[in-house]
Amino acid sequence: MSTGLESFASPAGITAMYPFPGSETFLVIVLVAIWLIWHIWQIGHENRELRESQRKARESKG
Amino acid sequence: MDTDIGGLTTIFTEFYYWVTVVLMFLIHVGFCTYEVGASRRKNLQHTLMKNTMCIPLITVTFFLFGWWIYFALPNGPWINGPINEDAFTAAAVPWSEHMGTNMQDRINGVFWAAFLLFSWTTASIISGALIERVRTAGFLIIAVMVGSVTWILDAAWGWSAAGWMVQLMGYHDAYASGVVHGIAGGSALAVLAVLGPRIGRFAPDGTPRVVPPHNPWLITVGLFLIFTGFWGFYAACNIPIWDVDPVTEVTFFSATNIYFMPTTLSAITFNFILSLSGGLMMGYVVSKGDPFWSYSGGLAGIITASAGNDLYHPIQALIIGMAGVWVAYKLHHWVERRFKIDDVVGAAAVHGYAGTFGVIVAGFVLWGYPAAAPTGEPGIAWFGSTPEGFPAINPIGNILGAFIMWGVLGFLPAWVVAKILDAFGLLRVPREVEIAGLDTHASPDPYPEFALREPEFDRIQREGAN
Repeated sequence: MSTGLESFASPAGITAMYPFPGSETFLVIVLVAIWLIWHIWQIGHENRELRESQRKARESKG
Repeated sequence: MDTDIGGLTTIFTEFYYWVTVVLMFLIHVGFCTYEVGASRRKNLQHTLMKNTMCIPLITVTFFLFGWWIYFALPNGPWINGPINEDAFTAAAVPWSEHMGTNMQDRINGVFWAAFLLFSWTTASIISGALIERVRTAGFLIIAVMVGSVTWILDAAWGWSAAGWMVQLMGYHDAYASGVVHGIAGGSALAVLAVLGPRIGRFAPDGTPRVVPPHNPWLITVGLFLIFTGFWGFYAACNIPIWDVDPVTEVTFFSATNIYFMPTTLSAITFNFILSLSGGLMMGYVVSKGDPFWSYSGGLAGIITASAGNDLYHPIQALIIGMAGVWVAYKLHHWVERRFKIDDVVGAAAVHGYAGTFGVIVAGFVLWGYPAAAPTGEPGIAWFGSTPEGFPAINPIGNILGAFIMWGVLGFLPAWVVAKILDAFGLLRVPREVEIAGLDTHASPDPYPEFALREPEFDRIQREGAN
């Protein structure tokens, strides 16, 4: 069982060293998803915070 | 890597850029410190987190497409050739084996990170201008656009030996007066124009009101940190070891600027310190000893001279730095009064006006110097070539270049995106929240001992000044 390399002999011939070489495109798709989902989550979170802040500000005025 | 000298040169270059990354981190620490110092007590956490979160978002997007833009688009594309498809471009796509742990590529990650730190800086410059009323969501979208698209596109065009602006216009901007600072300042001004000033910032008769920072000493520490990190910024703009005699083919090693044209660490050390000193001196004079503008003057002095600091004499760098600070200071106050622009940290001036002015000055002062070795047929540059056929640095190329950096890639896209964000309610916090403070949702008061005394400007805001 090996996820990538089993020997560091002849390092001059080694290229990619990370586990699961060949999965790069899949990893990039995952990163795009993480990026976009983070923005969407952040916008929703900030909307909720701002609504709560508005409510508190109105209460303290009233 | 199969000879001692080859291995040493490779690993030295790798380590050199790695050190610049560590130093440039201090720029971001400085920006965060500065912005938090400039904020009022009720906005500290929002200010800090807004700027901090541009770090991961720009990192992710610069990995996904920013790095590819730099190598793929130096020709425009289609201004001086098609989209690049060379080995460097292939190594910069995010799914490349070179964008990861790879025994055959020792430099890609370090070089990527050095450029990434420029990206953070460019976006972070905008951040400070907008504090105390901008939404984090809106700022982060603008940060991604500037940090991972527009600035790196301008770097491909004007901060690469193969860039079409360098090859065809003789554009020269060695330490990024326009490439980083001009575009950031132009973008900041555009977003400010859409965002509007803080409530109460201008009196009903249009007179600007002073909004005292909560901690002026934190501002100065932040600017000192930016000065320190700027050393890494300068070193990262160089290539540390290169054979700089392509004409006679006699091997002669030196450091070079980003265009592979010769300079030395000694030159940029002289010029960095002298332009910093000139900027501090002029900032002190023009503001009559105001700490904020004296420190910002130091920064603006470096930024102004940066376009030509690979070649200037140190005293030239000092004088140019002084002139840039005068221009930036005067323009800042004129724009503030004329257009009601509330630029909290003076970013549009210190970076935008000083950087743009510096690019224009470099075109005159370095007129006739070789900009870069020609990548195609020699002697075809639009505004003149050297006797050896290299594109020559010239005033027209740098004036047009300054306009492209500040206006075409800076102001214009930022204004369009800010307008869209504003239309969707993502740019500015609601009025009640701005008056109450952006930290009111959850954060405890960081300085409860000051709670009994309401600052004058907070009172003006609360009482509904416009």
